[in-house]
Amino acid sequence: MQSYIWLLAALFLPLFPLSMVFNSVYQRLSMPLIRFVLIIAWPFPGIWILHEGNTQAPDWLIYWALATALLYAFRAISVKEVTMWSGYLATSAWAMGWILFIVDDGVNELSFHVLSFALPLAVMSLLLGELIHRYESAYAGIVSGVAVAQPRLSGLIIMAMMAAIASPLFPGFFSMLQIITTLVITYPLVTTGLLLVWLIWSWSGIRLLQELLVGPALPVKYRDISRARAVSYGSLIVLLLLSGLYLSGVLL
Amino acid sequence: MQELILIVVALPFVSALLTQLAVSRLGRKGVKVSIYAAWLTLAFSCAGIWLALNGADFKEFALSSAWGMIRFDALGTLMALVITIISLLVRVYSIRYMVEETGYGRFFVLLDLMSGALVLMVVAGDLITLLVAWHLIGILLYFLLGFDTRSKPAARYAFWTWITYRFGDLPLLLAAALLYQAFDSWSLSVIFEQIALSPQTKTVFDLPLVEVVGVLVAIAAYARSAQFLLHTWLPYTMSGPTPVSALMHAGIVNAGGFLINRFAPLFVETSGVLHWVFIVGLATAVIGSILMLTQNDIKKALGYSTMGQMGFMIMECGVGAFSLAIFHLIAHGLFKGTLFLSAGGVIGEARKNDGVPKDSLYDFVIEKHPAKIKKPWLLMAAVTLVVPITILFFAHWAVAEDFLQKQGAIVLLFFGWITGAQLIFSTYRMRKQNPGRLFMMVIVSFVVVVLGYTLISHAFDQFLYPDEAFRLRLYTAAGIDVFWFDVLVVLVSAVIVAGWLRTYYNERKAGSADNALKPFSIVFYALISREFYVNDLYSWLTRKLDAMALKINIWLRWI
Repeated sequence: MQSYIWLLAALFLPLFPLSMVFNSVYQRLSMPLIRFVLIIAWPFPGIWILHEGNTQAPDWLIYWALATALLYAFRAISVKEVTMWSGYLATSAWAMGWILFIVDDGVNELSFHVLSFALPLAVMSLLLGELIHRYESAYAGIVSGVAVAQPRLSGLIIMAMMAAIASPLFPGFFSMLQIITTLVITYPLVTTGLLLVWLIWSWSGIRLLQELLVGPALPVKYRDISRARAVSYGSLIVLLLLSGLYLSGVLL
Repeated sequence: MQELILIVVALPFVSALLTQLAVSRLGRKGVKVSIYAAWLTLAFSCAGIWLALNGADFKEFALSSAWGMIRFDALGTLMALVITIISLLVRVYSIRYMVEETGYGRFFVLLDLMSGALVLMVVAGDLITLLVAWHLIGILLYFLLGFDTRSKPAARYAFWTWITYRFGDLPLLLAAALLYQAFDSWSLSVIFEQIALSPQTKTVFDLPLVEVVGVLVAIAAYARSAQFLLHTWLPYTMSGPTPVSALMHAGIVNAGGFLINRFAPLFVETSGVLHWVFIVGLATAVIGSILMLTQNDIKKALGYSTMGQMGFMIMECGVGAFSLAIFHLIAHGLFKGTLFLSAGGVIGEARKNDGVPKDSLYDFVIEKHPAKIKKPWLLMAAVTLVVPITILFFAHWAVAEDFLQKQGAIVLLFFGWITGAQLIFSTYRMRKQNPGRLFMMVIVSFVVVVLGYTLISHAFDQFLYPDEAFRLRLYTAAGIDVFWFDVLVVLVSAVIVAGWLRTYYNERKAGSADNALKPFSIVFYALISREFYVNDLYSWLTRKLDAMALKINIWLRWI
């Protein structure tokens, strides 16, 4: 019975190969708002199962979670489609939640961790909706030169990407710092693996960003997003920053 | 009054916000806000250093319970002053230089943020604040280097910088986590006190904490200061705007030297880490200088020149001369900043007039015709070797009679000797109407430079590390066994003397090819022309990883 609980939890807090279910569903969705909801909601059944299960997870799950995090981070290197990349990043980040859960046994902190990565990606899904509306694609390389043609939208995508790859002052940064501080003495090699995952996120994220944004402007159907819309999305980014500062007080 | 340091940190960030608002309302004129704020920050920085020089006590200010601690100390105030001076110059220069660029206002906002992050890094009082500032600098530098969003080469090389900086961020993060676990505090003061009380503390795999953290901090410094194998980004980042190159070469790459100085209370307890720091610095200084000499692109040559200088700075830390490294980074920052900022003027002038006089100097530098040597070569070789060592010896003796007891001072003496000898040798090769006068001018300049360098570095020692016992312990931590050190000194002296004698001998026989070394020389030249294949290796590795990731994605059907 216990194995079924772990498997079910591993479906929602995705571990490979069950992670393929989430990625398959996420890639099939076309409405940004549904993606927004899915990326926030998906991991919570997993957290609830772990909470209700009330049992100690086996240690080997740490290595499975690390392998998943590394696999999806590594796979993200060759991805050009930003929605697909978001799904991979979410999978990689959520897998780390298992490690935190097993080592620290804290379900509340697990929720913070999961949200700290889900929220930036949720904001990113909305911005990608705007991008697809304009270019009919979010495929880096086919779409390029967005920074020249759509400066406001580009600025917001940059900020969302920074938040997604756990840059300072965004919640992901403090979440990563807490995981690493918790693990460093008991699991130094796992910690090194997590640092590698973080490095690969930065690699794939920035490469994707520059393929999307840099270059001469392409002809585009619609103009840049309106000032009012930019302020709305910008407020979400500011909220992310504030939640990062709040999280630093809670976790550290 | 030490609270002034809080204003120095806050002003650039406030300025970034106000500049953005002003530019959106007033257009390009709005950048004046950034300039006024830079002047104001400089005024407060000056007040800060004045306080520190007048013996104001060390003080910390906590902005929140967990992190956000700002410290007022000699190192922080000095570095903050240097940063504010350089960033003011860069901003003033950018007013006209960047005026035709799109995103003019954005550029100033980024410069403001970068100044704020740099100041925050040097006055950070806890590890989290230091980490935040350290990370932010890498991010902001990426956006400054890739400022021209139409330029793919600029973005490509900005990415190289980004990934190297990210690689360097991670060891520092690991070091912070280990220190926190050992002492249950993020505060640098608390950590340094605890290290002094229990330097034998163990960490993972039962290793000595100070050694492990020392190595991690050193790696972080290497990535930031372009040490060998982590240097490839530096010579290629010239596609960014010139003011950014100036800021980067004058300020940002120096962060490695600063970081090692900040962790001096930790390095003083280590036993082997500083030797490793010395070796890496030495390798970087030598390789950077060799690569600089073989470049035919002036900008890349400048990049490699900075790499060599950074190697020298790290090497100074490796011999225990921590404060000298700070003096070096300031001197290099001002010198290199001037070079970059004057580059535009030089190019403009060169377009009007190539400025190359077709005289003896032209023959020597461009046509490669050696000068006719009339003086007795053995006498000149002796002068070349004896004059610099005598000047250096007396300059060092003037500030500390017992300098021969410090191994670090002797190592630096050797480098001064080689540099001085090179200077005099260059004079010997130049054909001038009045060679005696030129020779005397060179020697007088050398005396002034050496005396200035020695006296100022001594003053830096007194200011940054007033505790003499601590300074001696730093030299001791960097020292090696006396017998082996003496053997090395004799060996290196013999190599230098033999090398110079051979150089003079070759010069005397100018024109006759030295065939014995030719095959080796060709192989060596091929190696350095490919920059030791380091870039090729990284590119190959990147392609392989990319291909492997693609293959896995195809196997797994991209889900």
